[in-house]
Amino acid sequence: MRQTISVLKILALGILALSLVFIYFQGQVAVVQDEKYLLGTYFRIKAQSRSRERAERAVQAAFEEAERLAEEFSRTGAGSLGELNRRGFQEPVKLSEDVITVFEAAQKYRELSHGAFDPTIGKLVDSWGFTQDWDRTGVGRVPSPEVLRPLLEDTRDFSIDLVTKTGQLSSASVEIDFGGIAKGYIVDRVVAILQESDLDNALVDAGGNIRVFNSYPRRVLWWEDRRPFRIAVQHPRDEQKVLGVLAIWEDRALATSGDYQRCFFADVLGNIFPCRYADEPGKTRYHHIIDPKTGMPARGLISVTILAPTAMEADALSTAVFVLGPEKGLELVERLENIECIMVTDERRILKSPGLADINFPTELP
Amino acid sequence: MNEFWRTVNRYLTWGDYIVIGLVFLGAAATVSLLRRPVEAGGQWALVRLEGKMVEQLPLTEDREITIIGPAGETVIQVHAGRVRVVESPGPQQVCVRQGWIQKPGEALICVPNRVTIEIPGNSGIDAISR
Repeated sequence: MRQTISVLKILALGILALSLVFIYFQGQVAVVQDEKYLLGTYFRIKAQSRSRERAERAVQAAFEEAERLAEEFSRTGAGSLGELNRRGFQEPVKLSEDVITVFEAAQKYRELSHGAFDPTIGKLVDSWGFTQDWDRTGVGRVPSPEVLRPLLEDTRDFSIDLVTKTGQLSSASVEIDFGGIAKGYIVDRVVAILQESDLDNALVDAGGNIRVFNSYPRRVLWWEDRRPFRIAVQHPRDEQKVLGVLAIWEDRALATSGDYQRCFFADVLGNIFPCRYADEPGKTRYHHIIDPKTGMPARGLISVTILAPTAMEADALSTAVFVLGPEKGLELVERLENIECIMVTDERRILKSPGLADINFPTELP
Repeated sequence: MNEFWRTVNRYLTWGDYIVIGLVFLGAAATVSLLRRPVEAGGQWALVRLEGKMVEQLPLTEDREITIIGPAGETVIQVHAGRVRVVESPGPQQVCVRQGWIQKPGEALICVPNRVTIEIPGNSGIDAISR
């Protein structure tokens, strides 16, 4: 009798120990991270799954799609957008499904923002020197009014035929620049691929254009290890600082438009100095977010961060709000559902939309 | 309920309870030790060129290396447990101006030359919207 009980005890202890080990490994997850240089920036994907193999396959498929789309949306490349920019003012040009989708979205944001977001300004942007290979060459210039005037006076428009899947440009002054929207679209496509792969969660970061999703928290039997993604917002005047950190629990996207991303300084003599985060005394900052109505860099705000359900919305709206300025920008954000924003004015005040009232950010740029 | 414990206690001595407790404690200790293997990081800086790892620099060893990228030379310096970019081509010099990094999760990104330097680990921040 005694012996039987001892054997039972040892067995029970063994089962107990084994089940603890099992519970631990059952909660084990693999995190796969990879990065590639795409669209003039770093494109990073971080995916978590129970199965390392599944996560690796998903990340690889996601990068393949991102590479394909990057070419598709290049302003001057071999894709259908490049083709449209070369011949679109003479004849209708066949467009890919992706380009048409983004055109439709761009049209929507153009109307919503009363023209503050406008993809037809490729040539205006170029005239400031903010070309596609800016990160390498990076030489800006202040264009003369004679250069800007014709580009501003011509009707800049485009038309898309959804039946023939073609597009046409209204004049030779139009060059379609999807710089303020395509990156977001690509992030969304990549997220769609990752979501199809049944991952636990993932983060996609295209140079600060971020989208995350949290399908399943890490789970150990009944206990859920719920953890938000923690995303910081860049300080617009100091490379080494952030404004604050946002805890993102749900599926969400963030994008920031700032006057420090692509810029240059000019002094009164017309000398050009390279872009810096910090202001330079006695010099004027010129940046890449061009107001489509004036052809000049938009003033009033120095940084706009948008939170939205998709990266494309966040991307397009951060540009639109930046151009609209603090009052009209905030008005637009408040009119839209599920959209929040954090902005920094040129007087260094930090403003938030009402939905972010309880986040802990300073009210002045530190 | 009392009947239940009386039955259980007839077969289990207090020594058994101690053994069971020890198994749980041992499991908890093992899990907490295994759980965060990366957090022991912060000893290395990983240097990548166009997304591919090219160097692993121990932060305990002062040195300076040069990476040849598509735009030119990026000079990376390790000193007193910290790492920085001394020189890198490009008009904006963002990664040079970021200065020293030393904590796990921190990173320097030199976009023009496609070089990134990362101290692996978890800083509590997953990404920066910039």
